[in-house]
This record gives sequence, structure tokens and C-alpha cells, in this order.
Amino acid sequence: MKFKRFCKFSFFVLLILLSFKSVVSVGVGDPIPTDLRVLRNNVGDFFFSIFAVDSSTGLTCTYSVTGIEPLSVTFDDPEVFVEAGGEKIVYGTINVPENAPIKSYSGIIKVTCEPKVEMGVTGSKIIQSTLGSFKLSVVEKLEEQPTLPVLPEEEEKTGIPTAAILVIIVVIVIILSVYFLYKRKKSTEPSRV
Amino acid sequence: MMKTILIFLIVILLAVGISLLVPGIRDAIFQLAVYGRLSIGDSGPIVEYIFIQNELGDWVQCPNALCYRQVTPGVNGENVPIRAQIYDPNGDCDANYDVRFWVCKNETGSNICNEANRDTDIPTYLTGSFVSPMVNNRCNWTATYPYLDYWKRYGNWYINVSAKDTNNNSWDSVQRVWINNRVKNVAYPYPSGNIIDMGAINLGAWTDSIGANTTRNLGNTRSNVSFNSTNFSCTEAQCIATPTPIFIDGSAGTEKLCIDNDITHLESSGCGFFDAAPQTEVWWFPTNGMLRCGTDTCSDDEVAGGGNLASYTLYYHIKVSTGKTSGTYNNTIEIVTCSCDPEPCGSGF
Repeated sequence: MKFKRFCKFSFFVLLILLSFKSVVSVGVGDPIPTDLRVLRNNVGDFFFSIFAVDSSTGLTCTYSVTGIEPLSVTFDDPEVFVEAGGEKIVYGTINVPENAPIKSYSGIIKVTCEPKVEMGVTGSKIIQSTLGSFKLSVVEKLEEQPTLPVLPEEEEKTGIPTAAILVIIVVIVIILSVYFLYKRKKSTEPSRV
Repeated sequence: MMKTILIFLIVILLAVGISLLVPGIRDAIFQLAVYGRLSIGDSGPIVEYIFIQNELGDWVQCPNALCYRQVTPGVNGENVPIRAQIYDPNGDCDANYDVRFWVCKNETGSNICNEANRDTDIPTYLTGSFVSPMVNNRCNWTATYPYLDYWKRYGNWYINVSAKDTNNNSWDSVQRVWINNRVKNVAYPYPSGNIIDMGAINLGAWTDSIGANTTRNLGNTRSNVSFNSTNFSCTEAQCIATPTPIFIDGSAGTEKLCIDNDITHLESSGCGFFDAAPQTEVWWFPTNGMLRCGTDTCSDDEVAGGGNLASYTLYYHIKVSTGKTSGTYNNTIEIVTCSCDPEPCGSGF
């Protein structure tokens, strides 16, 4: 009787454990530089950040860029592991073929992160993807980047300021002149003997 | 007597002539001559360049593609170090200057940065600190903006540097644009220690409002959030003998799973159903995207008044057919986040 009641119960109430034990929280910054310009038959470098600041587990993240053909993107690392609470910078390179049209390109960068699942943990799995715009321009000529002004090295101070030297010279000249005049006057005075 | 005067003049001319051969003396003589003739007064300062220290620790002149800072999701009060190079033609650029810095947020809605448009977290202005001795009539001043909060809108921000030479009381004011880089981050569940536990569910009927948890926008942009889900399957021994997957993709016709910010499973109330086959993203609440937080604690969203559309509770509603084997059922849920500011929500960014 009890067994029958149990079977009936299990028929209507299913003990399903849908507990998501591996929680992810992924932050992704826009690629830097935000205004990337690349020449034909050339490459351009960029980077972006992945945050796992509010994630309870470390994350394994992969990424891809689509929608900018015939340009292609390669990443320094095909995937990165971001520690829980940490941040990782991902570096990439855009390859522009020689025949790429001169224009602005707008694609999508997708970052997908999965939690590092420990052995023996059951439950549903959550993965998080972040989509972002990926914009760049293929140009014929790069505009000159503003150069950073550098303050020149401080000039080495000389021992005596130039103004002081000038004053000394003038004083010497005056003394010599007075002395010379005095001597001339004395030599031209008649003797009082 | 005439001869004496002539000799005196020759000596004077020789002295002046010889002194002109010495560069330092020559410059000094000409400088004295210029000042004497034109009576140049004390010139005012000229703010020449503004720099910020970017994420990589480099001082970068603004504007520039690398003149940027980036918030850490969910973190308030990060620092933005700022530096200004000031030129004073008179060469009295020194610690007696009065140098003031203002930082203006993107959402101010004006490209004029001044005291009136400043980020109001700045009491009146940021006081500059004199950091270097004058070199070639130029000196450096710095200040730190300590109010870069995760919820303030990304985009073009401005810095205004105003300098006053206290000797002549004249001001020079310059503003430059810098980039607060966009960061997308939707946390779910929030805080991270929480677990989405749907517990025991009914068979042949709806089980509403399960797995309640908060979701919060920890980024600096409005975000669209969508969910993908696979069907549920059980891998325990009793299930392997009699597999009874839960087809939330709609193929079973009666099994459904939806997610919403309220406690009813009605589609008319906005519940997003994972019922397409194959699975498609469920674009759901709110219609105009998940808003940014509007305070440090996210007690409200970016729009004053109304509910908080930057931090709210999500519920699952599930309907499972009868005849399922008891056990633990697993699936994979993918949360897809993208910015919808300024792009329209649902455009894929």
C-alpha cells in the first residue's frame, strides 16, 4: 500500500535537482584602441579585458571575431583562464590582405566563458557569452599620431650668471677708464716744485 | 682732453664688442634691451597638454585612441590620475599657480566641461599639485579623479584644466576628451555565492516561481540579456535504464520552461519561453534593455523613479509532462549579454 502511494507520488512530483552550482559572471571590455586603423597588407594590434570579478569560480574563456571578412583575426592565446575575482587581458592581431577594400568594417566579437567544473559536482551548467561590436578601418594612409611632448632636460646651471659677468666687465671698464684718466691728468699737471 | 675722451670711448666699445662674442652675455644684453623697450608684463599661463594614466600605467596625451580608462565591474571609486603641462612665457610657472581640474561624465549631455557640468561627486574642483620644477618655462601639475564608478555611463568623458598665475590673476582653461571604455557585465545570480536551486517540481502541471535569484548589471552600459537552454537530461543509473528527457525546446508540445521577473508563467506577462526548436535566444525583460545602476549600491537604476531595472529578481517557471523518472536532471544554460546603448536592444550588440 505504502509502495503504491510512493509510486503515485513520484508520478506527480519529480525530484529534479536543477541547482546551478557553477556560477559565472563575466565582464568584457570593448577592444582597445577603439578607433583602430590599419593599412593594407599590414597588421594591427588590439586587446581587451575579461573580468571574473563577481564569479565564484575560475573561467575558461574563448573568443572569436566574425563579420569583417576578408580581414582575419588571430589571438596570442586561443583561450585564457581567468581566476575567480580576477582580470585577464587578451591580445589579438588583425591581418589585412593586400586586396582588402578601403573602408570601415564592423563585426562582432564574441567571448564565451565556461566555469571550471570540479569533479563530482552535479547540476546544470551555465556558460556566459558576451557579444560586442568590433570596428576598425582599413585606410590608405595612417594619420600621424600625436606625439607626446617631452619636457627638455633642465639646463645645467653655470657658476656665475651672465648678467653678473656683464656687470663685472662694465665695472672693470669704468675702473680702468677712471684710473687711466687720473693717470693722464696727473702726468699733464705742471710740477709744483 | 679730446684724446682722453676718444680713448675712453674706444675702451667702452672694445668691452662691449668683446662681451657680445660671449653667447650668454649677448643674449642677456638683447633680452634686457627687449624688456626695456617693450615693457613686457607678466604673461598668463597656457595649458598646453592634458594626459591621463591609462590601464597599462602609461601617461597618454588626450585625445588619443589609447587615452582611456576602464571600470572594474561592480567597483566604485577607482582613480583616474590626470596630468597637465603648463607653459608660462615669463618663466614663473611655479607652485604659486592655482590649478584646478574638473572631470565631466558622458551622461552630462554636454561637450562643454566646466565647474557647472562637472561630475557632482567632485565637491567643487580637484586641486592640482605641483610636481616638477620648471623646465623651459614649463611645469607639470597633477590631480586624481577618485570617483570612477562602475555604473557611470561609458563613452567620451572630458577633463578641464584651468590654471591661474597668481602674479597677474589671469586664467587659461583647456578641455580634452578621454574614453571611459565600455564594459558589459551582467551578474546572475547576484551575489556570486548564490545557487539557482529549482528544487522539486510537479509533473503534468506548472511549477511557478522557482530558482528565484537576483540579476544585476555591473557594467557601464545598458545590456540586452538573453538565454539559451538545452533540454534537461538525467544521467543517474535509474534514468539511463529508462531515459526520459525534458524537452523544453517545445518538441514535446507540453513541456515548457520560461524565465521572467514576476511570478506568473503567462507569456502575456512577459515570460520568455525556451520553446523554439532548435533553441533560440529568449529576449526578455525589460524591453529597452537592462538599465545601468544609478547609485553605488544599485539601489536604483539610471532613470530616477519607477522600479529598479538594473537589479531585480528572476524566476523560472517550468511545466514537465508526467511519466518522468525521478533523479537529477542537468542541462546547459547560456546567458548572452550584449550592449544596447546606443544600439537598439535586440540588434546583437
